[in-house]
Amino acid sequence: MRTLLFSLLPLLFAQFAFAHARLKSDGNLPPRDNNPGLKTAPCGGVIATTDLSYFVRGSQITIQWEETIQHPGRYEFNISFDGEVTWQNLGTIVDTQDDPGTLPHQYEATFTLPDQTCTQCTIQMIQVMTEDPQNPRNYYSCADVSIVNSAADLPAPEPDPDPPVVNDPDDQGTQSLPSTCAVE
Amino acid sequence: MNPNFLCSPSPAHTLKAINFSVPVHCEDLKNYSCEKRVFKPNISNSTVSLNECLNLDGHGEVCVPLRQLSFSTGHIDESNEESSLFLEGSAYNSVEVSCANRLVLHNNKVLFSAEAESIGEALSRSIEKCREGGSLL
Repeated sequence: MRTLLFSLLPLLFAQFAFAHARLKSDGNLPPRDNNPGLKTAPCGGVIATTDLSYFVRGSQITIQWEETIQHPGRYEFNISFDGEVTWQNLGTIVDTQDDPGTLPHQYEATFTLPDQTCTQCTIQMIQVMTEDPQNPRNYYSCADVSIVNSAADLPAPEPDPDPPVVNDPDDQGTQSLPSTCAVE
Repeated sequence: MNPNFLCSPSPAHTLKAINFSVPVHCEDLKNYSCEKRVFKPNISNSTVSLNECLNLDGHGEVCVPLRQLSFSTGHIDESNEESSLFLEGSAYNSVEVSCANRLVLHNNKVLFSAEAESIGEALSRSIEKCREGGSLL
């Protein structure tokens, strides 16, 4: 399960996942598929999954993405509530990093979600490449999301599978004990 | 709602405004150009303009302007990425071709374009899209 907890991960330690441009797999909005170079609208021909990211309606979400091959252009973010038939624009971000020597280019932006819920809907990122302004070319990266009514409706975060070590000064023989272990 | 959106002409309006005609706008190969985007690990970033000549079904030998953009993928750290992405034909080792009719523009964008793996195929498809453009009227 994916939650906004991912937003707490410092970008400094994020693993770089290379693509022409795509949503970051370790960001707040992991992509439906990590395969880059998805050119078919609306989502690169990748069908929806049940791996959802949860958000609250009307809230602000911060989305991370990256560009690993330099293209001029912009990034358009859209959301569909009707099975990818119609789209609402969440915002457009101009590609401002043009130095091929600093690839991959890391991007992050905050958008406001519509005041509308959905059990499952789609957020789409389009990289619009404008080397030829009259004939721009696109790459697509989509994520499956669920938008709930309030924070109380967000699913509980999954337990940490690798809890921190607990140092017990009275027990010299045990370094750590996962909370799910039964002690006999 | 953006009032500019309401004022934006439809493709059909654009075609009517230019008196769109398949013979005039679609059949003359001088109205087309192509772009080839090459993604390879062992090349340098570059852009060159060429004139590509080829035999096209129904047209014989034709020549079209071709802009070739080369993108090096050599900087990408393969250890951080799925190896399949570097296989021939995959995202970091591939060629994309697009051809477009440059005579028919809608909101300063081409209206009839097509992508394919070869110039001949992309050109044929863009011609076909132009021919089908009459259905928009």
